[in-house]
Amino acid sequence: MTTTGHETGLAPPHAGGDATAASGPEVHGRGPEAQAARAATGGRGAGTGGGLGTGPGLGLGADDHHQRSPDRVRSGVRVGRALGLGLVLVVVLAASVCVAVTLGPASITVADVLASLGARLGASASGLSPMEDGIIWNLRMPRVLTAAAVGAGLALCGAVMQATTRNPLSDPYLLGLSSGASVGAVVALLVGAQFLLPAAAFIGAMAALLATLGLAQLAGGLTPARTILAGVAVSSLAGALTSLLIFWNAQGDSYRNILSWLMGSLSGADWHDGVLGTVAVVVIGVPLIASARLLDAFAFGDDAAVSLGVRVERVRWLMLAATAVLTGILVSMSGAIGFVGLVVPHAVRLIVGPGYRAVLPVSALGGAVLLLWADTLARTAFDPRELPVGIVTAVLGAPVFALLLARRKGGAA
Amino acid sequence: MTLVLEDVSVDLGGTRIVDAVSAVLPRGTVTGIIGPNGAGKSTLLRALAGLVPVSGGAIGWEDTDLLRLSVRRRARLLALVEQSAHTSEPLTVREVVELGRMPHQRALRFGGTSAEDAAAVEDAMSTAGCLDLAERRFTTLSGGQQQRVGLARALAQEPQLLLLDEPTNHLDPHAQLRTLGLMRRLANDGLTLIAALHDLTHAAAVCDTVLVLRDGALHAAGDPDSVLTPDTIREVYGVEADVLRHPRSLAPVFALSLPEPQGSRSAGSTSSPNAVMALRGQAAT
Repeated sequence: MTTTGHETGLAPPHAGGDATAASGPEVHGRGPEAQAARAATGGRGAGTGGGLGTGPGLGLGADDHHQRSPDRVRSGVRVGRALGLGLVLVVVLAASVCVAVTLGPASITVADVLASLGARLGASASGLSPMEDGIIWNLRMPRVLTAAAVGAGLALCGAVMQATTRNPLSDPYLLGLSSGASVGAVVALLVGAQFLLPAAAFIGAMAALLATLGLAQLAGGLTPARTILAGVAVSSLAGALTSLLIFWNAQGDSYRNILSWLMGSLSGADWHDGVLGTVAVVVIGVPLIASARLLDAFAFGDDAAVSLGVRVERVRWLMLAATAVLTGILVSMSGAIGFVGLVVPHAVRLIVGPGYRAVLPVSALGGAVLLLWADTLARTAFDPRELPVGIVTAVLGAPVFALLLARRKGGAA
Repeated sequence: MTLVLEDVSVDLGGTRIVDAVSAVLPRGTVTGIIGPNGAGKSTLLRALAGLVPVSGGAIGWEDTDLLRLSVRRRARLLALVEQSAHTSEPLTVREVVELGRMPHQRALRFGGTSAEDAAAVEDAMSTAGCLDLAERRFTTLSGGQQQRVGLARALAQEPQLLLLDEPTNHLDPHAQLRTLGLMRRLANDGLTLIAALHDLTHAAAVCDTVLVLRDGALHAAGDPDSVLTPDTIREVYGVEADVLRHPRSLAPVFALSLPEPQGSRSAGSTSSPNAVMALRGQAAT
């Protein structure tokens, strides 16, 4: 039933995209966005016509080994939709990595990328010049991977934060993490110790986290409202500190460096970042996804979660700590990239429903694809100048989100 | 199998809310907790459910010390249906009821709902009478429908003890009777039910045992006929009660009235059976 679901509407363009490797960057570049738009419009709609909607419907006709009530089939729609979207996003992500690496000043084809990859994996020699190979392997690939890892992590953390605090406006930076990281980063930039920036940013983020959790605990416990308010207090203080530091010290180049970091940028990403980001996302993300069911229990509040056997305080501590550490690592390499962690989970929820078993993995994939393309746009659109990627995520994300919101209103009313 | 409460006390913010309540509740019975607002009914239920800490006494089920059970083990043994449940998530009824399976599922896992869980969810919805609502959004349901879904979620936990906090509150008469009937059926099937109730007629109709709380302490306990007397009702609620009999079922029906104010000018209205009726009569003239 799920296979019919994604075969009907969504799979063919990707199969084509992968096979006809040399058909040019523009076509590929538009692929994922068209996909995302199609996934967004096909699934929900009026409930009958969409590409994904037809899958389970066909299943009903073919499936006669057990009498199924109509409601069960409709329950399957959400599961099918989540699985279908997840598989589509995996394919889109893999294709996007290959395609995004081809984009930039030096002209490189997808075939070159695959050849370079193949050579690394021990297949025949790539036949590329060392220069081309270097651009693919040492410049673009790590940056693309970092973007994907950061996007996945931020979207995942945003979804977890929104669930544990029961607040739709929560994002990964809720606990003052980005503000704390900013203080650390700005200090590093001002003293001219650029190489210490990630470490300083991470330390700043963790200091802010401890301050927030400590403040919330002092105020009487880690309830959603107290946690959020403590985060607001710590954020404001750290923000003021950052402004003060900039106001007092920054000039010229360091000012621009700081501004670019504050708005979020992946311009310095190297293999170290790519590997660290990916490992962090996998090591922290997989257990989070495995415990997604616990997040569902928060839907009716803390008391309901307790009566379902969830140790609310402990789960909230663990979840917040895990997301905070992951966010801290990501912020230390990318700066505070906004919007991904806030919007991607909402967009995903509108498509796959509120169950976190689907929301978490699909958000991670969606965030990876979104940030990968946002960063590609950021580094190529105004070549040779680079935009801070945070600007691009907002410009790309806001209209898509507005569209989803408007559709949902029409459909649910 | 019995639930034994021994001198159970609950302190919240330095105030004693429940004061040394003791009771023995046999399996397969319905026990009603009645008493005025603030008497500690809900707090006692919440203490049993582990939502507020018990500051003294013991609660036992069989050989199990309820107070030492882990949150998860307790959730397999007992389920609580709260007065009202709120969520902003667009969950379907089936998804809400599936939450009830959580105590039986591993905490860390991938994948969807097992066939066993799906069957239990189906059973619970059918027992609670909300199978027809399975794919509706929980947030779009009426109060009565939401209450049935809450019951189904609790039943999906497959508990031995079912706690209900004012289960007939906010319901129309049909839904009230339906809920009471379901409670009776569940008890006959071997579930042990404890319900905080406001309506004395309901309590008399459905309960095997009634616990009357007043200022947190047990004021009276026993079967409804012997406990729900005009004297007890006057002492606890400060209202006059006339105990009538339902013409067909012969179950007690309580006609309540405020006590006559002393030195009242309407000395002629002593025969009025119902102060509310009397008030309405005055307003009309």
